[in-house]
Order: sequence, then structure tokens, then C-alpha cells
Amino acid sequence: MAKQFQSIQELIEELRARDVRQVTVAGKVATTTSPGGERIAFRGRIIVGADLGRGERVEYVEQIMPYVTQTEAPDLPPAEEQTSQLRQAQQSLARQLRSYRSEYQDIIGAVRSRLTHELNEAGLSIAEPED
Amino acid sequence: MRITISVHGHLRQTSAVGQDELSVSLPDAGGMRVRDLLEALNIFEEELKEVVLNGKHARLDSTLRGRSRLEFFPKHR
Repeated sequence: MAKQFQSIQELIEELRARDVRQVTVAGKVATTTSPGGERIAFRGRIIVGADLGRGERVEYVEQIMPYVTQTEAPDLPPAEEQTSQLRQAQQSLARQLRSYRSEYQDIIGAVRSRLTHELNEAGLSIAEPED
Repeated sequence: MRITISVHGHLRQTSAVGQDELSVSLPDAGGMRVRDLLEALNIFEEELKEVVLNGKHARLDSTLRGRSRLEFFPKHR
């Protein structure tokens, strides 16, 4: 379990004290949809963390303002009223991804950029994710 | 059904998922397979090296159920 810090500055001070110079930055976004799929809610967070060795880890989690968007209700033509469950799920995924990319991804990106800037200013480098 | 999706390598730039881990809620579609997500995710079957479902190697025909965690690894990084 990682030790959590209340602000990015507190995390930076801890890393300085420990002479840690590299962090990871990861974003997580969760969506929920209304039963009809017309409303999509996004919740996001950015996690800045570092491993200190010996299984010790420190983190700062920035919660990102939730965002709700209203999409046009899927208005299926009569011939498609019998659309399969699979097709509905695929359409729902496509709708969520479209809204995410057009409306929420930039919000996440702005927060990531601000945090990255603060980390770089503090002399910390950001490790690329391990593949 | 809730599916948490993350992608690696160049898929962070080219797929619809991007660099953040994305957790989506979908209507329950009995028998939905990994392959059924690819088009919406903007991922081509040919560019995939490995798919990991709930921490284990999976095939494109693997079925998604309940809560699933899915990772896509490309052939070229």
C-alpha cells in the first residue's frame, strides 16, 4: 500500500528528502452511462508515484473534476429495433469513446501537463510506462 | 458489464483509448469477445502481439464477462 500525500508539493518534498529523481505518471478514467445510454459521466484521476525500494511506494492522486455529457439518444430506425445486444454494447462503447476523446481527454491532458511541469521544475524525470 | 482497458506502445497514440487506463460500462452482451471491441477501439488485429485478460494471456475469441481487465500489446513498439 502506497503512502499517500495530500499535495504534489508534499510529494516532491518527500522525494527530494529521499533523493529520488524519477516518478511515474498514470491516468485513469472511469465512465458510467445512464440506462438508455444518453448520459455519460466521466471521472478521472492522475496518479504520480515513485518506488522507494524495499516495497515502499509514495503517491499523490489528483482527482479530476467529474464531467457529465448528454449524447443524442440512440434513435434506431424500425429495421434495427431488433438490434442485437452485442451491437448495442459496441455502439455504447463507441459513443463513450467518442465523448471521451472529444470532451474529457483534454481536461485530463491539461491536468497531466500541469503536474508534469511541476515535476520537471522540481528536477524530477518521468519514467515511460513499462510495456 | 465493466471493462477496464489499457494499451501499450504505439497504441497509446493510435487507439481510441489513448495513454490513460479507461474503464467503461457496457450493456451486458452475452458472448461478447475481445475481437468485438477492436473496431471501436481503433485497433487492428494485425498490429497486436498479445492480449492480456485479467492478467492472463488471452485470444481474440476470449469472452468478456462481468468485470474484465484488458490490455493490448502491439507487435511494434
